[in-house]
Amino acid sequence: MIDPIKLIIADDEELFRKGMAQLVSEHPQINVIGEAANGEILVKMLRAAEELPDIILLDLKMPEMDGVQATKIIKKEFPDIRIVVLTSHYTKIFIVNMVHIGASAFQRKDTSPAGIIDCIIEVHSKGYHFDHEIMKVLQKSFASGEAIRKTKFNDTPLSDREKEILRLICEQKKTSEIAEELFISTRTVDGHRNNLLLKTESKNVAGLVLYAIDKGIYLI
Amino acid sequence: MEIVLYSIGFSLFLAALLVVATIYSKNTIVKTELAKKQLEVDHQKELVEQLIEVQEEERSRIARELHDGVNAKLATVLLFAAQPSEKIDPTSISNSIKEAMAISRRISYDLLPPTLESFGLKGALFELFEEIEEKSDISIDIELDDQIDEIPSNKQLHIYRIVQESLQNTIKYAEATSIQLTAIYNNQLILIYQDNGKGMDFNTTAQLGLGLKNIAARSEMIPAIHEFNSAPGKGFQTKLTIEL
Repeated sequence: MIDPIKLIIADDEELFRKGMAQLVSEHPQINVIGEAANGEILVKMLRAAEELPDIILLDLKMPEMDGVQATKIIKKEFPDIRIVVLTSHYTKIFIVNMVHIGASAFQRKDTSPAGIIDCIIEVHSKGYHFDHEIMKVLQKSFASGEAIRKTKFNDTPLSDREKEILRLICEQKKTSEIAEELFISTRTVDGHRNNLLLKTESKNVAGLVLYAIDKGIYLI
Repeated sequence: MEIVLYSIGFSLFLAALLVVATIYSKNTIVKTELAKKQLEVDHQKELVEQLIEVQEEERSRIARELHDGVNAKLATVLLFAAQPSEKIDPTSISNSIKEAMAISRRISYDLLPPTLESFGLKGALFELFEEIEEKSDISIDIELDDQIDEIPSNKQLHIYRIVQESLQNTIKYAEATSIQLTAIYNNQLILIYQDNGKGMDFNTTAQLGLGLKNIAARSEMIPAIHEFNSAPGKGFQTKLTIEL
């Protein structure tokens, strides 16, 4: 029996929160452990929590403290929590900036419940989830350098093995699948992933994927 | 005795003259100051009128989009939902709702771009041009000093609107194939927007259009010095100089 994914939903619309909680709870692997009506409540909740969530489903537009501010604070104080952002603002600059402050995935509010569930499960097992639409946005050449430069990637060269692992991460492969494909242990894969995060100064796997797209290591 | 009396009289006369002259000149100063104030008041009034005119134009556009777009879609949903339950098609209902959401998203983006609010002017301007590059054949060259994100946020919004307004002018009238936007910082910030379109002749144009008036009004509020440079066939340039 795998541990269920612990989820918190943050949205100022109570009906949306309740509806979403009910829908995602129907999946056996997802356990909603809390709800918050704005960023301030969310941060207070985390600071007082005995049990931290694995993932937060976070709306951007909220009163008191919005999702952008909340993301910055949460990634600083609880770097292991992954954040799925609910937004409809799919522009390259915005996505890149959000990943830079620590977001792992993006979902439109009008996505189907099944889509949201898939996204939560993917983020839990692979560290990020970019759907086709987000990938298309990230592929755009416009202002590529400018958008990415904000994330201050540094230029430490990657080894061939690291590039290979990075490509497999971009193909949305799990650690176990990468290990199997390269005939190495999962611990070695984890080690490479940590090195990649350090070398590229990325906050999370989503940041690694942006790096790979920008440097042409991963071609969509 | 007489001489003394005369000189007293003369002194008094001089004093009186001095008083009269002082009052007169004070009056003149007051009058010129009044005239200056009046000019300022007139100018402020004109500025406010221009801003209100622009605002009203914007409001009627939003009203139209809300009514013809969002409301029309929701009315369709209502119609679908009123059908007998076995005839209700959830797909068409959710499609109409998605379309309504897309329109309201657009309206809210136009009112206040999320990137400007969360990540500052530089990102917001890039985003604005990202969209133009995508939806038109106009090529974009954009180079902005990081310093522009240090400008106070109310001023950032004015600058964003000025660039947006310049862009509207280019798209509506200029038939341009390229746009250049640069912001250089060196004690003061100089922002230059340049298109390569057909330009305009200030000699034959009786008065500035609403868009340019809006730019002028906003740059006074920053405050910034604005310049419009153009001639037939020479493109159009908006230049802002802002002391920081």
